[in-house]
Amino acid sequence: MGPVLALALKDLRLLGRDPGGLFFTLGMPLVFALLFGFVLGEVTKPRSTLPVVVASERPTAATRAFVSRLRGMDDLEVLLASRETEALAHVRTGSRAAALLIRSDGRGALSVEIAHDPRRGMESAMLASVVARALEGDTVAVTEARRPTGVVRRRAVLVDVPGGGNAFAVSFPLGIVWGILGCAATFGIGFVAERERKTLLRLRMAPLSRWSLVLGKGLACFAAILAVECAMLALAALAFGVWPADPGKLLAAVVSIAVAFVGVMMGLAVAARSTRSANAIGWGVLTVLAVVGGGTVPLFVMPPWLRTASDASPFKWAVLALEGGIWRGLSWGEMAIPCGVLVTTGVVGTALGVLLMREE
Amino acid sequence: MLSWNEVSKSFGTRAAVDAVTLAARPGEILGLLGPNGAGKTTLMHMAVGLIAPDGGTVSIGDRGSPRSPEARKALGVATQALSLYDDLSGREQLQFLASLYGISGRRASRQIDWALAFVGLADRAGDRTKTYSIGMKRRLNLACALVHDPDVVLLDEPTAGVDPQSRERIVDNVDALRSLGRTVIYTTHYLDEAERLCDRVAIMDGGRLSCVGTIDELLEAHPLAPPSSATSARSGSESSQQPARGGGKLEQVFLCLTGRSLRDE
Repeated sequence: MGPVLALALKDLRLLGRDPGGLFFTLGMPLVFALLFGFVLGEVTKPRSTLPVVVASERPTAATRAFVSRLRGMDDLEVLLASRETEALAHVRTGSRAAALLIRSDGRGALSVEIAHDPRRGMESAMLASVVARALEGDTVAVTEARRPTGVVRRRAVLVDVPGGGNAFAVSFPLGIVWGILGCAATFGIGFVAERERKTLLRLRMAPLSRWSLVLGKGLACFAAILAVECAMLALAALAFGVWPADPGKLLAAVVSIAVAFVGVMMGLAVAARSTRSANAIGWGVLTVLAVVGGGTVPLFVMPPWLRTASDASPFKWAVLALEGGIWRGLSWGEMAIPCGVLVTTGVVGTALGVLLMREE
Repeated sequence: MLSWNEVSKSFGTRAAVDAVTLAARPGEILGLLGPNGAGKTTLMHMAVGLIAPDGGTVSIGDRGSPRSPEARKALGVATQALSLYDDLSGREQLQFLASLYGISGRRASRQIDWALAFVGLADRAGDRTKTYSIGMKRRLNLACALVHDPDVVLLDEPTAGVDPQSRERIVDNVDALRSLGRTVIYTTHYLDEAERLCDRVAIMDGGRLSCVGTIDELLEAHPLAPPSSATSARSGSESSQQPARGGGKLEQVFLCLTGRSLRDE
């Protein structure tokens, strides 16, 4: 067995005997993926019955016909209210997602105001399109109250997923990258701990080159990240029906991400001088990178300067690369950008690790 | 076998090692003694290639500089800090180290079994190291230095903090290494150990080599060392740092050469 492989196997064996590290490496990504999946599933999937209340204080033939069309739509579960204040009360108390306030100008033209629960803005945005369909043919205006930007766009992307995407197609890439951050942090902290416990001293006295030592440490991290990615993708496919649109591109993404986060792990090992600072950097700075990279708040709702800053986060490129292989339908040319950034990150981080060995 | 030729090393403005020339002969146990901050550890680190000297050379027999992988294979090191993985068993630690030195298969098994038996840990070889006592960890640390069958063994305070039984075992092990033909560089603050084990002793102070020779030669060269001053110096220093202990004749020489002032690093 070569020294590099021996180093890697030793690190993997130690990881296997560290329940905390193992959980952050393998358990956390699953928690993230499922959590995001269920959250996104709830907010992005078109509901079969969106509960709304409809009020038309001065009914006309046109409003009655429109309400009848609304009641016949599968998307809506319609409750009728005689007055607008009664309808709004249903929304205020949370029993209905939105109120449709229908008004007629007396000449046959309708206007519909959608008053929605502020916490259900996404459903309100979808409701707007449902209402527009119901109004087809009528001369009307739809007024949307507090319609959040971007929601419609996100829904449109999900609907257009080749091969039939679902909310877990969005959540699993996020969950996987969160888990990989945990994995990189675990190995980075382990590297620093090795320095602190002086076991690194013994390794440095062994007949190994600095490159062998760094590659050995990196190989263990690389293997663990690959294992996390493969396990999560298999689970996504088998349990949640998330099948990749292009397995070849997904493979490129998976390998590029593993290379990148080995570099992130090395960077952490360089920056931290003690396990305490490694913990702080691991769970502080890496979390900030994840948030900036769109790990918690979608990039499109961020201010422009933060979207620009997100280019510096490997999290963003990792998610983009995974999505590119799963559902975005990116071309090889388009995949080259995130994969290139990720591989560069890995190479730079690993080179820093080698420099660290020399400094010490 | 292992030689330092006019080696110097400074950290900032402080000279940790200043033009030291010293050689360990094949098959001998060379004691490297000195108060804290004398330069022993720096000299050891240069011997294993962790630190490059500012001037002079270090060589491992005909294998050359210890910075080369080939020369490092000839060195076994037991550091003062216990460089062990708590979650690996004793056997796994040795298997891992054997792999780093390119030893595998039957040869590795043979070497590991021998090393474990040599330090008296064969019965606990499958237990994780975190369950070991300090004495057992020290013995495993020694086994780690020996598993690849090195020609030169560097032992940096191998008995620090252990119980008398483990200390006795380690001292016996080091003595046995001589009969196996190994060259041993041995640093310790326990002068009775050095007096019992070492064929020759080198005493360092302030980064310089004060003297080197057999204990009889040192006594002959420094006949005026008063036992009473040695005793008072020992009691005065014990409160703040690890003192030179035991070894009546050698302790007189040691204190005569290094003085009685405290050496706070």
